[in-house]
Amino acid sequence: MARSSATDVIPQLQKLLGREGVLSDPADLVVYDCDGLTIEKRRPEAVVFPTTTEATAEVVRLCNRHEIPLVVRGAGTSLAGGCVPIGGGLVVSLTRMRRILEISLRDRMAVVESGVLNLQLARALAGTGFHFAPDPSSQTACTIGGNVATNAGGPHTLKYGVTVNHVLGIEAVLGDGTIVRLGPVFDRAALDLTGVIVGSEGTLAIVTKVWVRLTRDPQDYRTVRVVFESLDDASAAVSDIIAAGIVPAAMELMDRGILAAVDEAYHFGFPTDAEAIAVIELDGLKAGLDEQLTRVAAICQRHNAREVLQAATADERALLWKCRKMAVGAVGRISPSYIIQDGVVPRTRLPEIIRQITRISAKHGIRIVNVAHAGDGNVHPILLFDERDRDSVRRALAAGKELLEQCIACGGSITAEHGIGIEKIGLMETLFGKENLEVMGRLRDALNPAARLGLGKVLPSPDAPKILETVGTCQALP
Amino acid sequence: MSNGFLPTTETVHAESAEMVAETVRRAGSQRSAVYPIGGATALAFGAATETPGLGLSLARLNGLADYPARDLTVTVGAGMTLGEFGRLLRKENQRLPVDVPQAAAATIGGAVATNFSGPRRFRFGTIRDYLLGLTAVDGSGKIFSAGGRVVKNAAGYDLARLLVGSLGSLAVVTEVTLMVKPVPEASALLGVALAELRKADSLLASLVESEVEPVAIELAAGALPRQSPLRLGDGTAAGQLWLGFEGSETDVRWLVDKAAACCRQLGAEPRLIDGAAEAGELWQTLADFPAPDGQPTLTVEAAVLPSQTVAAAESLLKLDGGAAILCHAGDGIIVARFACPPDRAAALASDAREAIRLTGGKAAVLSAPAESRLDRSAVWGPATEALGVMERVKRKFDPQGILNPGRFIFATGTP
Amino acid sequence: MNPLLQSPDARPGAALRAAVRPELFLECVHCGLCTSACPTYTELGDENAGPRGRIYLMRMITEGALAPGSAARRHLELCLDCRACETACPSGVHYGQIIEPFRLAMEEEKHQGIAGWDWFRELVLFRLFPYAGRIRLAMTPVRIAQKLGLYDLAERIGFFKLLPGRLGQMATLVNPPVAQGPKLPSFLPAIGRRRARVAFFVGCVADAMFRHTHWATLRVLQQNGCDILIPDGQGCCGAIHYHAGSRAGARSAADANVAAFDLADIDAVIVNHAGCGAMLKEYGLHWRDEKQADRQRFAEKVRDVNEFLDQLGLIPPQGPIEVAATYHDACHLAHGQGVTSAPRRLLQSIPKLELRDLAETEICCGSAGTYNLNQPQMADRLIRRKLENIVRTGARIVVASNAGCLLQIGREVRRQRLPLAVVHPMDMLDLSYRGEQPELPKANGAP
Repeated sequence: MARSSATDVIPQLQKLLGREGVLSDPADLVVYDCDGLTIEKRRPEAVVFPTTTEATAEVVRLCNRHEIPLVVRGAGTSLAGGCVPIGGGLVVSLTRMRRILEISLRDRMAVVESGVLNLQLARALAGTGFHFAPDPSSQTACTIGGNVATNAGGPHTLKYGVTVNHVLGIEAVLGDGTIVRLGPVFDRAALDLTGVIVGSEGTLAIVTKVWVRLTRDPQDYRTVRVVFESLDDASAAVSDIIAAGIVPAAMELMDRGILAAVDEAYHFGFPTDAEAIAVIELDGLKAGLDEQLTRVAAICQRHNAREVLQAATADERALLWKCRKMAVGAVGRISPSYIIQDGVVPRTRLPEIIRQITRISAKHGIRIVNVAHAGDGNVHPILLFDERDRDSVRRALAAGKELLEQCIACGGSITAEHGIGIEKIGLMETLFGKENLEVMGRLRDALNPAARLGLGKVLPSPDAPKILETVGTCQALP
Repeated sequence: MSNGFLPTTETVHAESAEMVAETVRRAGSQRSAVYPIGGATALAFGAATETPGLGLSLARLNGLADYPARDLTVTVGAGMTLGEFGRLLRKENQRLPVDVPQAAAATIGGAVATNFSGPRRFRFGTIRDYLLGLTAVDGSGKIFSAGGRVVKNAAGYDLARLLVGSLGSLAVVTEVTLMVKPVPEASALLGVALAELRKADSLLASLVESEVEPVAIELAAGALPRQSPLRLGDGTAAGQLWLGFEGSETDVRWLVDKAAACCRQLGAEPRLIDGAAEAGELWQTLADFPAPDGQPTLTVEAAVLPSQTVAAAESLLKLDGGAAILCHAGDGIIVARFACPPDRAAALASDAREAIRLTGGKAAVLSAPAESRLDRSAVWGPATEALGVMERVKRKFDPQGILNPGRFIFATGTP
Repeated sequence: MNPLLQSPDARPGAALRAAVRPELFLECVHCGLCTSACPTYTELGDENAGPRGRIYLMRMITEGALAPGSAARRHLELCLDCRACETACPSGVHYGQIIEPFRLAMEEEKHQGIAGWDWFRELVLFRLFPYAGRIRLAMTPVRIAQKLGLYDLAERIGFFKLLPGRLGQMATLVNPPVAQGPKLPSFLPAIGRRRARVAFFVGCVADAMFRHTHWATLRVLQQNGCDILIPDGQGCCGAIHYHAGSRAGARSAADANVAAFDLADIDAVIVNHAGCGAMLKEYGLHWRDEKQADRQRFAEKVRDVNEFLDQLGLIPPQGPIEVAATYHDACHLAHGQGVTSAPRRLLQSIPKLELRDLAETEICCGSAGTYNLNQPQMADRLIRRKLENIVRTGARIVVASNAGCLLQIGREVRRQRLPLAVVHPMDMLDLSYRGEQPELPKANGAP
């Protein structure tokens, strides 16, 4: 393909966005090599910072004229390489589109630009009695645009659903540079493009503005940590709670390995000999919560729970959640490198996949510690290795792949909330088969005709850059 | 079989996805249209079409494929009726909390295609929020599946959501996987008669401030049938607000008490319906509001921002004081039924659309008398700027334009 | 071939590559959760201006994969060293221990040879700042102008912009004169039952500009049963030298202080300004020589006054102060020393005082040592952001426990002519113990 280099269009980009809106000095681009996934890197040819939808559309049109691919980036916390310009070209950073444009409690709606942080919105809503429900663990840093791109979840997905359930409308730039505005008012005379653009990881459109639904704050919480003798017991208890028709706000699991790292970071005081801890949160009306808690505790006890301890104060609850949400980052304390996986299985298969993880860990000689949004059947095994040791990198990748294949075999999927990015593209065919991928490709062709948005992401294609297969020989850039 | 709405020359009763695919391919080779039919409860929905073609009934694709009840997921054939589906789930004390009119006859595939919803939409959303995956046949006769069977899945594009509300214009759904919910322990409704409709605004605003969270906020107004259980008081009320509550016994009791106090504070004495049979009938009435009643009726559905609901309802009543109106006020959805001779339907639809446009919303016709033969612009309104990209999607899924031609927003004929 | 290695301003940079222990880089797992805590990233949205990016840049330079050119230097110089990222980091990255030695090496390299001579650094930072007496003398013209009422005029017509860059910035920072009180004595006895024996660290800028706060601090300590020693021979904590790239200058300041305090005789070394406190507490980390153990012992005795009083158990003051106040977290206290709840608890012990939450309290005000002198543009953006948040609380008093923050916030309050008092927590406690009321500026044409 005879495409231009982004460096050829720097003057035009500067004209569109101002000098401060374009990074093109090679030394300024280094930090855009990768995101939260460090195992695969690619340096962009330039980074641009549009501040309006129109400017974003202009950038897309310019890139189309010069056949330059683009990848959109928010806070760069993707764990699947979603922000890496694997197909080359430009990175479009939306971090300067960060205004909260409107909050209407009566309409239960907030209007935000894509670069608004999830936490920024949470803070703006504090005290209003309403909140934006998706709360991924990267909540303190990630953007709403990023949440929309990955259809992010978080611990509270169990009761409140994922991002798409909380998006009323979007403004977006399609692959040909057209701007579309969908919603926020329900439109029968339309295809639900919002429904497919959410979760498409920036490969169908660049979402620049979002109308989000607000959810009423629960009146009260009961947050307990339950100590189990084994991960097996814990996952069986979780499965039983769901089967009993109880819908907790969240049910999270952490195993012994990760508890050690978390406790070192936040000094919560988890028992050091606990094999697994479940954090279970019930929320809703004060009146009915204790009744529910009694039922949950009884089910846990049937599965050999050693103790069921309730967070006594709001501060303790906050610390417990901090421990859970920061758990993955805290792994840095026990290992120089890690890959966090994002598999999902039917809830009842949770004990089975946990056993498989243990087996795979032993088979590949890769230590694996676990956190899980257990109530959703969403496991996050964290594979520990040392990126300086090429053999351990190779084994970690092989273990990760086998693990996801097991999720597929259990009737599950290879990602519940991180997205495919570039990391899991090699497993797409195993999951969906060629035929179904072809149908997905048609949707991309309709919205992003030359596939320039997010080139090389999400859908495998013969001419997409080869990635991750080469990772065995990967090395730090340059 | 011809049914007054669709120009079908014959109807094929599909027994399998493969048979659906084969039928579509056959129709494609003959350049004949295909009209998928589920429970035939929504044939009046959509623009009138003149293109003759095959009726493709999915009613026999009504089997249960998989129901791991402990996972709260279920996979069934698209032709299963919602009534049958409900009975199946009930055995496990579970349900799909989406209200579809005429549930006894309407099918799950139809619910996906039409995206109908009802009172519980406020708390529980629409079928899109429960649809985990599906199998379907596109306009070239290719079987494909999308999504999966787990409750959380971020892999690839969610084509299942794309088909929701597409009125069978992209593909014929043959099987769906849905997430389901436990049946709540208790249910109750609280009704208040309103001397004037505007009063509903202050009540709804005070709900935002209070801790009361209903699962449904329904505002009924205009000329409700005399025997309608939605009516309250001596018949002079301008409207009635119904708040629906579900949850544990304890929760519902607390909510009802609190909401009743809220109403009294604003000078309205509420009526409580909490007997299982009576409450069930009321929920049913709310859900079936858009269903036909044998009279020539134009049913319009409008959507506005929730804060504009009352204004929008009033503007529709101004058009015709004899209209019957039900608003899902928490969502800004207004369903208006106008008694209407066939020849007036187009003009009335256009007036209603204009009235709603002025309150910042959109309107579509849900049904009109068969003889009125409303065209696309009368049913769906003028084309929006996003139509272009939607047409590109249509061409990718139905290149020959044979699926439900002319009924949805897309022009007929080979694009 | 890497073009970056051949860029024209590439230098050998051997000292830079050796500045940081490589294993410190491995603590960073590149998750990015730090970014939103970083004031400069929050303002610019550029990864180069965030902690994750900076660590990556330093790592690339250290590994020899990137030449230490001007772009990278600019990004690293823009860092406030506020350490908010350390608080946010789940992985426990010691960001300060990475960027400080790295920047030190950058500065040392820059100032080798006459071409790198920087009059401001040599004359003002090293010759003026560390000495309270000299600062006081240098402030005289500004003080006279303030007394004559000319200062206000000068500030309004932009007179200070005529002074060479950083000097002009400095002149505007000078706070209006208040009754400073006499020179500090060498000893003050406890009032009531004796509960502790402490030594007080005086500092340089703090003594020149906030002696009244020193007096307030001493009185509060007395009220809480503390005997207080104020040893001779102590001086600047060395932070100014250290952050401007003079490791040796900082070390001699540290050694003078370590020698001045007799640790055996006291329960704690008390410091009331966060910047000095953070430096004193890190004495054990910065230099590896035969005196390291002594410095470490000293560092272990250092307590921020808020921290100390909170641990000791504050004897509640009785004088009501009926006003809404808000507390701004000084970076070097919150992130540098992990002290956040103690000052709030102390303030809440004042009867009738209403303490309101400040949004983005953890985000730096832009003062950051000498940052507001070196990076005035970014500092200005940050202080405006800070003031917006402060104004939104509706408080009449802003409390901060650090000289730099007090000066920086004070200047912006004067610029915007806001009816806000800017004080130290000890000022507030002292007033309450004495049953007095704070002086609240009147709304003076403020919006």
